[in-house]
Amino acid sequence: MRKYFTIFKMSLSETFKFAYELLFRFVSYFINMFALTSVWRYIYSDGTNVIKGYTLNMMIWYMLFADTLNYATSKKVKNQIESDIKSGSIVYKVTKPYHYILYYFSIYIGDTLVRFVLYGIVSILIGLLFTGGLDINITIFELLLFFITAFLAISIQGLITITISLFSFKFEDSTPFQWIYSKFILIFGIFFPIDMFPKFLQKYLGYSPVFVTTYGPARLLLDFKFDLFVEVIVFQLIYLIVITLLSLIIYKKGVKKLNVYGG
Amino acid sequence: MFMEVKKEIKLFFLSVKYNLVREMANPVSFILNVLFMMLNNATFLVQWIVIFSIKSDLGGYKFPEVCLLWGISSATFGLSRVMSGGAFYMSKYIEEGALDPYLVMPRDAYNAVLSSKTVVSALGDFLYGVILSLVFFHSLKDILLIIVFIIFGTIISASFSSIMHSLAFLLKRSEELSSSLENIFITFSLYPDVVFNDKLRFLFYTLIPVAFAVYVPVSVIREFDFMKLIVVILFSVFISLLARFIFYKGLKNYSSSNLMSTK
Repeated sequence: MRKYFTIFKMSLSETFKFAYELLFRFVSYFINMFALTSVWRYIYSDGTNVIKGYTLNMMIWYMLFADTLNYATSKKVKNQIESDIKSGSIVYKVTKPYHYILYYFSIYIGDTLVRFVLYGIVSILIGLLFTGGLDINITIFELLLFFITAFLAISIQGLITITISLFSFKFEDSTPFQWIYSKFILIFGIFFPIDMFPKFLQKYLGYSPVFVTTYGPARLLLDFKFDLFVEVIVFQLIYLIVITLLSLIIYKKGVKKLNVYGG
Repeated sequence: MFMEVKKEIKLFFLSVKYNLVREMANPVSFILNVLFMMLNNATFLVQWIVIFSIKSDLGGYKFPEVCLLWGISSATFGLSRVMSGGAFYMSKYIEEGALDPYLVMPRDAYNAVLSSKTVVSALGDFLYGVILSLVFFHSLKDILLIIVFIIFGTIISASFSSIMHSLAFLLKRSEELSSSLENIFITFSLYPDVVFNDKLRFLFYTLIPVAFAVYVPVSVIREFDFMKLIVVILFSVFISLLARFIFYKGLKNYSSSNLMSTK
C-alpha cells in the first residue's frame, strides 16, 4: 500500500503547485452557480416559500453541496487513461510493479482531495453570498459521519470515471460516455434533489449513482438523519464493491486484447 | 480586393472540409462523438420539464421558447466550433509559441488560425440546436430567421472567443482564464434573460454580448422586428472586425518558440 500512498502524495503536491490555475476555474463555477440560483430565485419570487419540502435557501445549499462533490472530482485521470490506451503507452504501465487501476485511483484521490477542500471553501462563500447565512444544525460527530460519506462518494465517482475511461479498449474514444454519465449526475443529482422528481422516478433514482455520489451526502449535510446515513453508507459500500469488480473485469479483458495485438 | 475575399472564403471552407475529413478517419469515434453530444444536450430538456412543472411561465418564456433559446444557443456554439475551432485554441497556440505555421502561410493569418481546427463533437451541438429550434418554430419565416441568426450568432460567438483567447498575447498562462471567460458567454446563453437582474442584462448588451447572439434572435423569431435584425447583423460585423483588430495588435507581442510544423 505504501507505493500507492506515495503516488497519492505526488498527485497531491502537483495539484497544490498548480492551485492558482484552479482559481480561474472558480470563475466558471461561480458563474454556473449564479445562473442556477438566479433561476431558483425567480421561481420562488412569486411568494412561494416551500417547494416539495425545500425553501429557497435549502435549495441553494443543496445545489452547492452536491455540486462541490461533483465539480471537485479530478478529470485528469480520464484523459490520461484514454491517452494511454489510444497511444498504446499502456503496455509500459501494465508491466510496472503497481496495479494500473490502483495507480490511477491514487492519482485521482490526491488531485480530488485538494480540489474538494478548495471548492468546499468557495461553495460556502458563494452560499453565504447568495443566502446570507448557513442555517444547518449538525453536530461535530454528524459532520464527521458526513465526511465519511463524502469520501466514499468521491471514491465511487473516481472508480466510475476510471471504468468508463476503460471503455477506450473497445471504442477508442470514451469521452462521449463520460458526457452522458456526467450529465445524468448533473440533471438528476445536482440541479434538483431527488425529491423534486415524480414518485415513480424517485424510486429508481434511489438505486442510481445519483443517490450515493451527490444526493445522499448533500442531503445529510442539509438535514442529518441517522437512518439516511446508514442507508447511504450501505448503498455506497455495495457500489464500491460492484464498480471495483466491474473495472477489474473490463481492465483484464482489455489487457488480454493488448496481448493478442502484441502491445 | 473582391478576388482576395473570394479566395479567402474558399480557403476557409477548404480548411474546414479537410479538418472534417481528418476527423472522419475513425468513423466509429466520429459518429459516437456527434450522436452522444446530441444525446448529452437532450438531457437538459429534463431540467426544463421539471422547472416548468413547478412554474409554467418564466417571464413570458414557456417550454417552446426555452427550446428555441437552447436551440439557437447550441447551434451557434456548435457551428462556431466547427467552422472556427481554432479561435478556441488560440491562447494555447500563443502560449506554446505555435502560431508560426499560420504566420508564414500565403493567406490571411487570422483566418488561417480560426479555420485550423474543427471540434467534431460540436457538429452534434449544431445538429441538435437546429432540430430543437425547429420543433416549435417551423413556419417558412421562422426557418429563414433561424438560419440567419445561427449564421450571425456563430460570427459573434467565434469572435468573442477569439477576443478572450487573444488575452494570451498580454498575459502568461491565461488559457484557463480565457476558457472561463468564454464559459460565461455559454452559461448565460442557456437561461432566459428574465431571470437575471437589470445590471447583468446591461452586460449582455456590452461586455458579454450574449444578447445579440441569443436573446435578441429569440425575441425577433417570436415577434418580428426588422430593426432588431439589422442591429444583430451590424453587431456581428463590428465584433468580427474588433476580434481581427485585437489579434493583429496582439501579434506584435507574440514570441515564437521556433516550433515549426507543416499544415
